Amino acid sequence: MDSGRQLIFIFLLSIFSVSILSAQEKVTLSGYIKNEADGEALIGATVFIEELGTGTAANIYGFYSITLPSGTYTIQYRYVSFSTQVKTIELIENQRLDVELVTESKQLDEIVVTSEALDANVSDVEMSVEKLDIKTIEKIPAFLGEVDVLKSIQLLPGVSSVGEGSSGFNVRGGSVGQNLVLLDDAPVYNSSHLFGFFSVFNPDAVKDIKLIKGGIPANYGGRLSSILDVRMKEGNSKERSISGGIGTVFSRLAVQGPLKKDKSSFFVAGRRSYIDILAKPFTNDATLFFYDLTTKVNYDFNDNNKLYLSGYFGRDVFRFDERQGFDWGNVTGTLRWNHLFNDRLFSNFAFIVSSFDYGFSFGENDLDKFDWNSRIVTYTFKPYFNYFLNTNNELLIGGEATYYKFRPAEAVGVSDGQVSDISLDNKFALESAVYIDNTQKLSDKITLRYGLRFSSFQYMGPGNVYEFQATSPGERKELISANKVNGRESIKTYYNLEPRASLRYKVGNGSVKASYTRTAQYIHLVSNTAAPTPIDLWTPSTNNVEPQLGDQYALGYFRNFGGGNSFETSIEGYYRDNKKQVEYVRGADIFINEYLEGDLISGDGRAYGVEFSIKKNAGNLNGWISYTLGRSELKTDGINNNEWYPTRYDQTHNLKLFGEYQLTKRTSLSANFTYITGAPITAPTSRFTIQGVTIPYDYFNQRNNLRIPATHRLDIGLKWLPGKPGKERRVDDYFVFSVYNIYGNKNPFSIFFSQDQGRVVMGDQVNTLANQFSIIGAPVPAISYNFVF
Amino acid sequence: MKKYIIAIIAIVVFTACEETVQLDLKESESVVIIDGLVSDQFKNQYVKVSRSIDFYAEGTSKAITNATVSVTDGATTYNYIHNPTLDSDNDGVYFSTVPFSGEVGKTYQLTVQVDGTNYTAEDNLYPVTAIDSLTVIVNEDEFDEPERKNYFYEILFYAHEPQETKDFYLFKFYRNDTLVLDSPTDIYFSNDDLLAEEINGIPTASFYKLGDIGKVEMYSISNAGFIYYNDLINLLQSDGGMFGSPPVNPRTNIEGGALGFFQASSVVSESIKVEE
Repeated sequence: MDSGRQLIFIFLLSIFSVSILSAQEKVTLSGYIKNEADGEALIGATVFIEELGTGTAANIYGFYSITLPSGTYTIQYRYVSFSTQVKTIELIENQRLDVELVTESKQLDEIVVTSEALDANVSDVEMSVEKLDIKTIEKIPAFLGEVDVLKSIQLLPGVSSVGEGSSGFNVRGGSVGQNLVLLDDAPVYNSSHLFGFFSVFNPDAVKDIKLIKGGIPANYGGRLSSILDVRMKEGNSKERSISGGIGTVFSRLAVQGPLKKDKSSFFVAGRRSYIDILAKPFTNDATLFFYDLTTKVNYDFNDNNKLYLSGYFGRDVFRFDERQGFDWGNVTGTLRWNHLFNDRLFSNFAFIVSSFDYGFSFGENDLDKFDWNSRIVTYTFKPYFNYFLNTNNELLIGGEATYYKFRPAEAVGVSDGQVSDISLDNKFALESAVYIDNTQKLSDKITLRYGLRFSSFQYMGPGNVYEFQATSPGERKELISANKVNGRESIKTYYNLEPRASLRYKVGNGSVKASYTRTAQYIHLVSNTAAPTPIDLWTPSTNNVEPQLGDQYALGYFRNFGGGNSFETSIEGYYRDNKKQVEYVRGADIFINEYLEGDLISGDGRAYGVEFSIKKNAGNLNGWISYTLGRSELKTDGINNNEWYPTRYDQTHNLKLFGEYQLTKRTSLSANFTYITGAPITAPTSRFTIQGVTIPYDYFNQRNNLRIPATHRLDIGLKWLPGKPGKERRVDDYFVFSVYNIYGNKNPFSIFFSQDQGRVVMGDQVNTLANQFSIIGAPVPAISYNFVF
Repeated sequence: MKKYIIAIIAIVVFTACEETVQLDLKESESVVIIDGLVSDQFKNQYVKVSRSIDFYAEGTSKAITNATVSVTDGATTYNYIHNPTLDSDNDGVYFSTVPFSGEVGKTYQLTVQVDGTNYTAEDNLYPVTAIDSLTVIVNEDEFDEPERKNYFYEILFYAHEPQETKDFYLFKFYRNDTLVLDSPTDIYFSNDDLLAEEINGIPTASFYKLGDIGKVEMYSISNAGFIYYNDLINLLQSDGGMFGSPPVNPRTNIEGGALGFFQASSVVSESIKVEE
């Protein structure tokens, strides 16, 4: 606590000192930076003051503010793939200047050339951050031709998944449950459709994607490994537009337009898969489909007040027949109010609801059946203040309070008309945090970002409080007592101070960056399988399950080469030390287990690695190479003979190549190649026969002791814009032809062990086999058609 | 189940495939495997002793024929003798020199000595509820099964489950005295969490034709036995931990470094002939 107090002191001191410095005659230039074509705010667009050689960037709502000594300035407004706008302004008093930038691709027909040197990757204090714009994502050859945000993110350094068809993604050796996925500020508790083949984000509705792998600013928290911040489009405030696509798996349609010109706009986008319809002849009554709807409305009351309402509704349905099957889905809703207190103080107040649920139904009639539902619902309030103190300091101050309701199981079994209710009690919790964060330019060479987050978690009633006693390490804990708590009283409270710091130091044409992040995670994704599935369970920290704590250190060198910074390169190293990472006792039972807490144990984790990245942004040929060398390990008392063992998502080599070549004005070719070291599995060394069955077992009693073969794959795509050169088409449209896994590699999804025949009499020869299961064992071609009009 | 679902998507949409692969597995030493049962039926009770072999090793599990085996209930000690009938099927199987029946409420202790190493285990013998009756029904879904013509009779099982006690059961089903399974890796066992007091016609494994005799055996097992069978089934039906939990070695009640299980059970059985 002492070091925390010290930190606060230093923090306040540095803020006061800058306030004193800023006491001279100064004026503020502020406003919104938007896209001229559709009125969408341009997140992170930069404002550069030529005379001072300094500038600022627009925040996530497109708002910028810069405070300068009064005078005449030449100001450049820049944004990637937009024409830079230069304005000369005589700044005598505070001035509001909203700017609209024009996209370059308008004139150049999809060939993106940036006229100005944009070296954000070198000059920003941010490190370990990956951004992908939708234009790039659309060019990556996708599985079944369907563009996907999460799959594209996996082509970037430090990001992977455990296999084709697994939900979620892993960042820098972290588990899927250690990523915070935000959609317009709302947490998304399961980011997958169709068991992970697609993500819940409709690319039509996505405006901006940012993945923070390290150096996490203090305004984010609650997960150890990464933050994926996805922002939805606000809707075209200039004119109505309809876009969509027809593909092999699903069709998409999006409608957007002004409700009141330049004041209010809306956006509605929907998707529906139709494999079930195509597969009807083969599957009888079975059906499998998903749909989602993304909507947003916003309203500008005046220059200082804006309101945004956004919602997401998605569902996957899988049925064997009319009565049996299961389904799952997310619902999120966000209401945001942007308020400008003055030219320098921007605020946002967000009210968020998010829910994820799944349900199972089995049984052919009402007399013999089994129904199970599980749900997590959260309500969040987030006030956020962005204070543009002066040219050298930008402050973020805010808080977050989330009320959790966990419903682990509402389950009923009916056997021959007799009902047994095996539902579990709900669990409640309150997670809250306050933070302060400052980005400070010390000199041309040095920028610092530092912050402090104070978080707390209250596990509260009503509910059951269990006490367990450890038997032997790695084995199920024994229940000692169970007490009922009826009121909303606190059962167990945890507090954590989470300091964050990043530094950028310019060296020649490049920069060195370093960061330290401490994060606390209070809710845990309980999943005893390697491939995360929709039925994984979120569970709170309790008196028995402690919060996870992570410390990440990262160091990187960033350097751009070539005219217009056409080559961006970086190398980053990271080391993360985790405490109290959730593990499972031997034979843990995580489904409908009242005493789940007795099956959860915690261990230490560590993950470290180096990421290399080279990007080429300009010219007819562009793309990137990313390579990660990494390790991710756990050490848990009672497991693997108390020695470090690899996690199921430990992948030593992770190589991704993506290239796109503009063949003609209307045709472009793209390809991506993936190579990932096989995931570790627990493999047997021996076998024995007992009661007629042959059992494989591991003599050394290790965990994750063998690697399955590596995964590698090449995908290619061709994008073609129909029409004749020089002739304006009424519709902006294009076709995408793609082949996924072109050389038909059988990438292992899992390996399991079996005997090569049924029961055996002792004395008979029986062999045990290892079997490899591949989900995709052949090239998968696809075609899709996309349009905007 | 989850794997089945993925497999369905995979088959419907594209080409999934499964193939046998050769893995580079470590070599290991062998371990003693013990499998024994004391039931409440009056007979020569058995204990099997063998050795494990490498996963890819050629040949059969190795029977141990020179062990010393005895079981005690605290008052009486029963000595076991290796394969007294010299039946080659019973290689590695030891039988009690005298027939005896286990008694409900008693704890049985096993001692096995192999090459100077002692292995011990104990299990409690719990009561088992009676089987009220069996009935035969026709399952019309089975009419069209081309491979198993005429096998469309199913046997249902009725019993009263005592609700005041926490009970664990193991089931074995026989058709004309041959053990039957729906799938070769099945083991049928249950706790009573989902069993109501009236067990009214739970279907048993496999299907029968006219004239067959179906038999159901129900064993009481201890909590340790339930855990053991649960571990076995997890290993037998493991998908490598992709959707199920990762494989772990089965837990055992045997101390001294051997694997397997020593079980004490009450057994009830009921038979029915399949007729029109």
